[in-house]
Parts: sequence; C-alpha cells; structure tokens
Amino acid sequence: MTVCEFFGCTFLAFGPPFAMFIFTIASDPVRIIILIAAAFFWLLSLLLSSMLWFAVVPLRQELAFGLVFSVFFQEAFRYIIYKILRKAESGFKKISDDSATLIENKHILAYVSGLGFGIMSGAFSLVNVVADAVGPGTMGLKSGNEMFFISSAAISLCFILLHTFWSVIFFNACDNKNLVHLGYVVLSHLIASCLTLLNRYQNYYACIIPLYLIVSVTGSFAFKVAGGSYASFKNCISIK
Amino acid sequence: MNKTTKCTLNACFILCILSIGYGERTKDKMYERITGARGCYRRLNATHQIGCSSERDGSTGVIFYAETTEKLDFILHNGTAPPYIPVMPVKILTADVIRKLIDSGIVSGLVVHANNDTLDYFTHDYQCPNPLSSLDGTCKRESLWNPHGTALLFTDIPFPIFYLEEEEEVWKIRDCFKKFNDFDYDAQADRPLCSLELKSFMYATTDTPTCKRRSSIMTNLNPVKFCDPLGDSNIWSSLYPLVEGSRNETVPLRNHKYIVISARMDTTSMFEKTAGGNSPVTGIVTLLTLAKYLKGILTQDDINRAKLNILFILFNGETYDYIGSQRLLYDMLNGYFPVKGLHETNDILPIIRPDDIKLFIELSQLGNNMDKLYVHYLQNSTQIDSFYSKLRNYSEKIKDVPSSMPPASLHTFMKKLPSFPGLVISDHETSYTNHFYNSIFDDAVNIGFTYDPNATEQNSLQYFIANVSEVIGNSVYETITGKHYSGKYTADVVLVNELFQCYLEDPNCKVHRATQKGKLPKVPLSLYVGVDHVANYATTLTSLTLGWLTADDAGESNINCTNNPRNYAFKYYNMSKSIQELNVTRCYKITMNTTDAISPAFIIPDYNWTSGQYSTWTESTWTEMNVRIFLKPSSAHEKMTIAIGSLSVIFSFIFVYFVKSRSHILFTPPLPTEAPTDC
Repeated sequence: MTVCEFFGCTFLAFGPPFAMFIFTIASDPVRIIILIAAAFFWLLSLLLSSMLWFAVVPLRQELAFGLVFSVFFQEAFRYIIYKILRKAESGFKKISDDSATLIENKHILAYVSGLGFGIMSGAFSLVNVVADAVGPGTMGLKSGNEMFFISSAAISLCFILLHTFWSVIFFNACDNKNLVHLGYVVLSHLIASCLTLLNRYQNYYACIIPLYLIVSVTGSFAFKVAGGSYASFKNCISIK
Repeated sequence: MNKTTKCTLNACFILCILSIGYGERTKDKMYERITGARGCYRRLNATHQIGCSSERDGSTGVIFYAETTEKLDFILHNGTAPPYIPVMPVKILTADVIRKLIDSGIVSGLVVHANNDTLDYFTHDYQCPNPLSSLDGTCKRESLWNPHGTALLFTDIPFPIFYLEEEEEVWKIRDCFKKFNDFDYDAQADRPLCSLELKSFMYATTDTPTCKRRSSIMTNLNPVKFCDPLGDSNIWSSLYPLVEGSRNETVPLRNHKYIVISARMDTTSMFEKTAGGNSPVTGIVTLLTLAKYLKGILTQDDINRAKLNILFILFNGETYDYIGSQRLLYDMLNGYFPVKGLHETNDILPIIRPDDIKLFIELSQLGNNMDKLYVHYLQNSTQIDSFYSKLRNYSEKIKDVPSSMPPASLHTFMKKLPSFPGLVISDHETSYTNHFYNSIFDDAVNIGFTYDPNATEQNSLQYFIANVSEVIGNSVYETITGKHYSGKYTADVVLVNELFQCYLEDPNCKVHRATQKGKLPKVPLSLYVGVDHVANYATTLTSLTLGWLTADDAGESNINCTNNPRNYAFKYYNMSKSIQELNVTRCYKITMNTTDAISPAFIIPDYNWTSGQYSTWTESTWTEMNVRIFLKPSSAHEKMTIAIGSLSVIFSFIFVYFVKSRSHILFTPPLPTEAPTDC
C-alpha cells in the first residue's frame, strides 16, 4: 500500500510550513487574516494566468509560455498585496493586540504574506499528485520512475520556502526602492520555475539540486534583509 | 472548464512532469486498464456461498505469468514478494490447481486467459449436475453424467478470478511482467513490481437467508439490497389456441389434455459470459423447429378430434436447481397456470394441472452425437412405451435407456408426482458427450456448427436437427391422430440454420429480424438466467420466435393488428411472413406467453430455508468489475519516503521553534522610525 508514500510526501512538503504556521502565525489573528489574504491573491494570479493560457489557443501545448507569464502574474500580485498591506497598516494598529511588533517590524508582514503565497502554490501543485499516490500503485509503469512522488514533494517544499523568502526581499526592496533586489526576486523566480521544465526528462536531480541551491542563496539573502547577519547567527548559537 | 485549466496551469507552474500539459491526471500514468476481462460472481443458496469476490477496494498482487503448472509451482514455493496474482492459460484451470493456490496462502487473485490450446474438456459444473434437486439414484457412481466436472463453479473461492479473451490485453500483462518481474526472483521484494488490481467486490456473504435478512426493512432500518434471487421467465405456447369461438366471445377448451414438449433455456459458466452451444441451444432450436413442423402437419381439427393439444415450454434457470420447472409445477399444482388468479369456472382460459399432461417430452442436449439418439425414462408406462415404439418406427438411430434420467426438468415433476409420464431425448447414454457442459467453450465449434446460408451440406448438424424434429414430430402426429404420417411436409433446415446463428453467432439474424425491429449488438446473447428483476434479451427474443412459429395468420398487417377488444388468450403482432420474405409482414395471432421463473422459495411466506424443497439461489449484488495494471513500489522505497517525510516534520518543528524563541537575537530590530511629531 502506498499510503506510506502519501504520508511521506505530505509530511515532507507541508511539515515545515506547518511548523512555521504553528509557531509564528497561529498566535495572532491578524497574521492569519494576512496569510489567507495572501493565499487568495496567489489564487487570483493563477486565475489570470489560466485565463491567458486559455485565451492563447495556439500556445496551449507550450508549457514554457504559460509558465513564464504565470511568474509575471505572481510577481504583479505580490506587488499588489504589498501595496494593500502598506495601505492597511493603520487599520492593523486598531485591531491587533500586538500591533507594535507587526507594524514596527515590517518584515513580519512580508513573511506572513509570503508564507500565504507559498502554502497556496504548494497546495495547488501537490494536492492532486498526492491524492493519486494513495492507490496501490506508484509511478513508472508508462513513464517516470519511483522517485516521482518524493521529488514532487521536495519541489513543492522548495517553492513554499522560496515564496516566503521572495516576499521578504520583495517587500523590503519596494520599501527601499531597491531595483536590484526586485530584479533578483523576479529573475530567481523565473529560473526556479524554468528548472522544473527539466522534470519531463525524468532526471529529477537535475532539477532538485539547483533548486535547493537557489533556496539556500535566497534564504540567506532574506535572512540578511530581515536584519540577520553572520554575527547574530553566531550569537544565537553560542548563547545556547 | 475553469477547473481543468486551473489544474493544468498549476501543473505547468511547478510540476511539468506530465509531458502533455492537458487535464490528464497523474493516475492516468500510473494505471493501465485491462478491458474485456470477465469476472466471476458470488452466488448463495440456503446453506452456502459459492463463486468469488475481491476485497472491498480491489485485490492486488504481483503478476506471475505461468504457462505451465511447473512454473506455477515454482512461484508458489519460491515467491519472495507475495501476494501474487498468477496469469495462466485457461487449460490449467482445474480443481487441483485452485486447491493448490488456495492452500499456498500467497495468492490474492487469478487471471486465466484464452489461447490456442485445444481443450479436451472444460466443465466446472458438478459431476452429477443439480445433485440436491434431482431424483435420488439417477446419477450413478459408475456412470456419472458429467464425469469431467470439477465442481469449481460451486466452490467458494477466496480470491477473485477473471477470464481474459483479448490477446492484446494478455500481451500487455505479459510485457509488463517480462519488463519488471521476470528476473532475479530472490530480490523481487527490493524493486518495483508489475502488479494487477482485480476489482469485483460482492456485497452478499454466507447464504441466502442471511442476505435476505440483511436486506430486509424489518431487521435493518436502512436496507441495502445485498442479493437478488436468480430467475427470469419461462416461455410457453400451445400449438393451437386453448380457447375456441369468435374473437370477442371465446370459451376455454376445458376438456383438452396436453402433450408437453420442453427444453431448458439457460446455461451458466464460471465467468460473466456464457456460450451454451449444446446445452441449451440444440434443445431450444430443436423445440422451435419442431413447433414449426407440427404447426405444418397438424390441423386444428386433429387437435379437437383427439382433444389433445401440444404445449411447448422453455424452462429458465434449470441450471440452478430447476428454478423454472419448480415454479411452473408449483403454479400448476396451485391452479396458477397459465395465469394466476383465475377461477376454476372462468371464461377466459382453461386451468392446466399436472394431471392434464398425458406425455412430457424433454429435449436435452442433442448436438454432440449424430449417430444415435437416446430416450431416457425411469419407469415403463403405456404412453412412454407406445411413444418410444413410434419414434423407433421413424428412425433407426433411436435407442431407449430404461431406468435412466439425466439431469432434466422432468426430475422436478417426477419428484412430486412419481408416476408422471415423461421421457428425455438426448445425445448421450450414460454420460454427457458434451465435454464443455456449462462452460464458455460449449460454443459453435463444440457442436460443429458452421453457418451455411443455403443449408446444402447433408451431413451437417442442421440436417441432423431437422431430422430429429421430423422423427419426434411424426411420432407426436401419430399419437394425436392415430395415423402414420405420410405427407410431404419436411422440417425447415434453413430455419434450423438461421436459429443456430441467432443463438451462437449474431442475434441480428433473420429470425429475430422477422419477429421484432430492435437492433442488437453483434455478440451472442447471454443465456445465463440472471437475476429476477432484469429481463433477458434471449428470453424475450425466444418467446417472440416461439410465438411466431406457432402463430395463426390474422389477416393484413396494419395498425389495427392489436388486441382490442382485449382477449386474454392471445397477443397480436405484426411480423414478417417468413425468413425469406422479411419485408412482407402479416398480422399474427399468438398464443405464446411467459410465466415467472422465480423459485417458489422466494414467494412462499416464511419459507423454511433448510427444507431443501425449492431452489434458493441468489446472486450477490456488485457495483464494478475491472482490472488494471500498475507498478507496486518496493517496500524499501516506501519506508524511505515515510522516513524522509517524518524527519522533515520533526526537524522543521525543532528548527522553527528555535528560531522563533531566539528571533530577538537573530534579527537585529530595524532602526526605530522617526518618532511621530504630530501626535
């Protein structure tokens, strides 16, 4: 029975975001609202991309076309939610118990909305795959191989984390009008998405290894943007 | 529309594994359906369950393709990745092999496939068919009726069995087996293996009383129907009407006696497909040919003068403890035949009781031995002796077998009425010449039938059956008129030929086109009795054919060819004049009718299930039957996946908690923005 595969893949992809949700989001209702709003905005971007894909009939078979435009739509919506959140800041002050930290530390808003983006995109990319993993079979009868499910889960996790990091960098860059950072976000998003095109050749490592490299680079970048540094990292460990 | 596009784009976005980016699911890449597989059902009687069933969500097992029993033994002893589903040629399907598979405990299903092997015998009925409802002592140890019978059809098999006919589908399974399974058997458990999923879950278990109780609203507030009684309709028709007088004022002919000519209507098989070449088709065809022949040589006056009419009866469900004849006899004894609810002195139809039957002639299997015909009867009586000597006069081939009674509807009558005058005409003396009794291979090849449009070949089955009809027909003629038949009328060989084609090859044959307008699929009709609430095509078509062959011409074909004002003794149909003139239609007055062939056990209130008096067969309900191939992951891979997943969860919880608790150290707080000046 590959119920094992189902749980394995679900844990792998959604375990880390779940942990993040429990420890950092769940305690504050405002954060939950922002998370859901962000997820909704990601869905809107998906709706627009699918409408575009549907409208351009001759290119329907071309994955790359839909993929590239989808990246631009997502980034556009990231900007929209940024604008909205900045506009709504004064409102948050009134309703939030913990408004001080939420407003003062602007990275929290960015992190929460990024996680919302990530969770929704991860859910959409993985849910229908793991749903099929429950049956008695695995991939490989006609094409693909045994690693399909676990690779899909790993890639989904990758994108969930990336979206969180991208949002942190993106919001900060917008605050500071830093075009280089903005460019980095869009470019790395494009590259990461295009890497998944390699999956059709069933060489999953060719996709996963560069993706995780991008995750670590983007992660460190976001860490830095959010006010972390090598010294603070050392501090943090040594104090223990 | 929106949903598909969403799914598709999302696939584009991250997982472009599906090389065709359309609304195809991952599932479609993982499973391949095997079409045309015929499953086996579960049936129940008062005490047992028989047949097979899969697990509720399908039985799965690793494919093992075995051409011989030796190979099968190999995997049963050396298999390292159980459970297995052997795929083997139909020839190996024997009671021994099934026993072995059950005992091994590592088999979760079985697929048998057709191949080019010539089979010597293949019959899974009992050696003494219908053992519980036949007369005691009629099946002797030294001369079993069905000596090759394995009784597998009546065995409770704990795993599903499917029969696969299409060669292409067998190749699919074989190729997958060769690619993934057929090497390095010791290490099979460490790699993904090509497996089969067999789905044929049967809802009923244990026995009919249990199933009836569970399906009853009295015991269960939300009853689900778990099983249905086997049953269909018996077909009967009289050679000339049972009533006389003008159309609107008919009176029943009460003082007439009857000669019954009967045959069985159904067959069965292990799988969801039947053939029925020798049993019952030869019997049905002979009866129908005989009906036409007798209609041609006997006149209404002959019948009236002798006060002896002929009843043709086709019994349904005879394979399952004589359902049809049990019900008909029950109806006759209760005065429900031909129609239930008529008073003794009604002016619609005469009530026919067993006493009114002067002679009962049953046509059994007739197609496997063209040199001899055997007349079986249990005890001598004047009717039987005189009829036998008449048969003997018309043909040298006839031989009598006293004190013998092969499985036949007559058993039902003789059990209740020991001196019932009946005989069975068959092609076998002490045991069946048909080695494929009640199996999928009792087909046209088994009885040597080839369609011959003009019926010219003199030594063919068609001529033999026509000849048999003439011999029986002439003897019946002599019994009724007292005169030797010396006319020129002959049995219709072309009709025999067409009838065989109707049942064995193409239901859209000339006879069926003559009697009705429906278009049917070009596969032989199933002759399995089925469950009571579903009408069989075969029964409906046969009833129309019998009606047509015994019909009286009622004038021009037009829209006025209806039973108006209603006369319960007749039906009126527009039908073709003959098989040669399909486009010329006439209006026909038909005496044919049907009666329920559902065991009395299901209509008697508070029937004692353990009495063994009537057939109690039911068939389990089921929702789907399908087979698909897939790749079963190795257990090592499964363990790895769940380990990685669990580690990821545990590690991330620890990490996130750590970061969260130290975030004030990890992230230097941003510089405080300028204090608002105008607050």
